[in-house]
Amino acid sequence: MKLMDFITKEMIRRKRGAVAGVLCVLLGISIFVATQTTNKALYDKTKEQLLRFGANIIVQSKGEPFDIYSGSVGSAALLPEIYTQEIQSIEHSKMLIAISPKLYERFKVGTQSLLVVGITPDERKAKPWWLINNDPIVNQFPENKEVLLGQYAARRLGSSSHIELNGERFAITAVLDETGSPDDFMAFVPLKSLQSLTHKQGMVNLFEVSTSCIACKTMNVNEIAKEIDKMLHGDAQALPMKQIAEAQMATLTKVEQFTRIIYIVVLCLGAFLLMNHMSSSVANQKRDIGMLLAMGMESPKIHRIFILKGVILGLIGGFAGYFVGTGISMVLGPQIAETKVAPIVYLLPYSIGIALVIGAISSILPARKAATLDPIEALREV
Amino acid sequence: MIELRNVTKKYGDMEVVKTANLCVEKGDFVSVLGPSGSGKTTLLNIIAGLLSPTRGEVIVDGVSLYGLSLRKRAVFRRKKFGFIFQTFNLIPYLTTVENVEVPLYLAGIYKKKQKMIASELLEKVGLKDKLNRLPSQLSVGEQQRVAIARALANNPQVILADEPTGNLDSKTGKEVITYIRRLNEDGGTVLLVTHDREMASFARREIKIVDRRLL
Repeated sequence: MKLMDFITKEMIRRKRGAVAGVLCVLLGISIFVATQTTNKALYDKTKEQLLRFGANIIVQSKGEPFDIYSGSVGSAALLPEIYTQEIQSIEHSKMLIAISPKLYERFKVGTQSLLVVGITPDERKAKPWWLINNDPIVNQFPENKEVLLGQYAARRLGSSSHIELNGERFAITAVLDETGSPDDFMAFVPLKSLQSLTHKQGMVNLFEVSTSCIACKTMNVNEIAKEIDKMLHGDAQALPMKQIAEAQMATLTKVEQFTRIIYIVVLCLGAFLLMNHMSSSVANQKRDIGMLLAMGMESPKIHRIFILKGVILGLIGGFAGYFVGTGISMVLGPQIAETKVAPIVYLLPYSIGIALVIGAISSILPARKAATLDPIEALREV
Repeated sequence: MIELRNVTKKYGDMEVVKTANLCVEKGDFVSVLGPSGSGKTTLLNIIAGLLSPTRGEVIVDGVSLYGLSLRKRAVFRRKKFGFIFQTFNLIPYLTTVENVEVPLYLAGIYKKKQKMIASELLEKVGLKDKLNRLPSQLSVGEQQRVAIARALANNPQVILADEPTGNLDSKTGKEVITYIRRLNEDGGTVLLVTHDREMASFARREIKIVDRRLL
């Protein structure tokens, strides 16, 4: 005999009791793992979706900013196109997906007024949702003397293979599918072409910057915008598009907080159930404890037996809980998050760690009760 | 060896043991005979160091038992006494041999030697072929024999037996008391409390409890 034998032999020979104890911990840990795993899948999916919103930061003049929604060019101040390099040189430049310099100009095409935007090939990275007949843009991106039309702009101009801007002929390469944005009313030409056409060589109205950290936990859009601001000269400012970013971040945070509350409650419930299980285990073994005390076992040893038992139940429950939780998330996760759910290996040590703490904490009171039993009382209860 | 000096135990106003004085010499076999509720078990628990008396002193081998700290008393009990109870009090999830190993483990004996001693003791009480049975797989007589082997494991100087035959039929009871008698013949000191006259008569010396007082 050794101390561990009192625990292991009791657990092996009273399997039902041991299984009940393990289930208490397993319940909490599996829910913890399942919510964490599903949450991550949901988070990754949302992040990917957020990236499709495109620009998260607008860099424009401090003087007379360009009103992107009204499309009124008026006396909007211009910025040098070379600021692209300044933006690229920020500390967290790896988080920049695309920098799209843009020049806007309004033209009269026939009887229609058309807002024409000068763009660079980076626009494709910034707007992955731009489709032509449901397919991504491949060869239809406008090059010199070519124009890409938004859906409503094309409808207003009628069927034609080209348009004339300031007397210059631009071939229509394609018409974009409806996007539900102001892009539907615009025409897109290469930036250089528009700069040349309007005699604004090397100048733009604004830069649209797409970052990969719209849903980052460590770095947010505001911080990236601040970094850009530092790199710019006094005439320009970087404005984070807070509405989209903050709303999406808030949604993600709420989902995360909600699931955190769920698993904390379930972990507490598991701990409470385990404490009850341990207490009933002490009550069931009262006579055995009394006998051990009568034979001269010291109270600290009795205490250790029950703490160790809780820890072992926690260890098994934590280990099993990780796999059960991962299984649950892989089965139910795709239905909830509508995306593939992958196991998170680093949750295994976390699960075991949390389970060990639950096991130890839940055993403190029952162990103390066992250690302070009066052997006479315990032996009397036959 | 064991001396009780004016030991009294009270629960509130109720006096369960009235001024008991007793002297048990080494190698003696003393039975304390009394009806149920006469305070026999209380007296035995006091002698065992499990229940402190309200008044008086218990001296074992010159040591005042209740002058020791709880921890020292536990160690003292472990070294000096072996217990046999009416209800055997075997640990149900341990096998026969493991039950006998418990006091040996408590005495700090290493595992291999524990098994050897326990097996030898079980052989002595006729349970050689039932070493790995659980208590639930044994008859009541066999369970009491395991309890006897366990009580002897530490080679205690005193065996304290509380109605050891109370749960046994007459034949098995006699077998068990014969084992206890043999322990005494081998030099062990035995203090037996019982309500059974026949069992009490196996002792060398018989003390009666009348009206909660030792006579």
